[in-house]
Amino acid sequence: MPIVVNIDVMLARRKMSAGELAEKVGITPANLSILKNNKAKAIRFSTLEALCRALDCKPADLLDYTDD
Amino acid sequence: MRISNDKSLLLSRVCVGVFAALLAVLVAGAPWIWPYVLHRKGVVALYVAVTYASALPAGVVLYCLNRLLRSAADTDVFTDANVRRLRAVSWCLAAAALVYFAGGLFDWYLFVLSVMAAFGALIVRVLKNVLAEAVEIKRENDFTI
Repeated sequence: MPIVVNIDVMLARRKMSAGELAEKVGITPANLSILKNNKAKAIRFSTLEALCRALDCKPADLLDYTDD
Repeated sequence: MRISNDKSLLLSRVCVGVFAALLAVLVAGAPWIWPYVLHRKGVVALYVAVTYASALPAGVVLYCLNRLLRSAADTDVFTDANVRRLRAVSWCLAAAALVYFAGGLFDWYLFVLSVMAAFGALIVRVLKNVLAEAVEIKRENDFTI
């Protein structure tokens, strides 16, 4: 999929662990792992909003488009 | 009368078992059953041959139906395996329709069975297409975070 989720980058910038982020966002670590590994087929606006709030960033900081 | 899902599943599995037993009896006793049932003695050999030729597809259909019901009992319905099973059922019915069609060249009664089997194959094929789409939708739902 050409949409890439850059959660790893933001986690490193905010010096936050994946478990901590999952807890703040209210999703399971397994689902966060699906997002991190670009296995997700879609992301809800509510999840994106919670991610942006927890990581204090914009959606564009988390999502990127790469031409395959 | 309202039948619960579990009882309905059980009833379906019992029916599959009954048909499997019928198939076994028919295969084992075809040379004796057909002369007893048919009044036109000239076509007995044809009906015995058609029975044996369609026994394998019928067995595969019953096996697939049993596996489908088992997966339904395990509440694991929307899987690629079940799509494959429905596809197998559809092709087996199509194969049976071909056998009956060939038999129908010698005895036109078998044409009726051929049309019925072909129509059954079509219905199962449509169900297979619908299930394949449902599996894709479920996969997308499962990976929507």
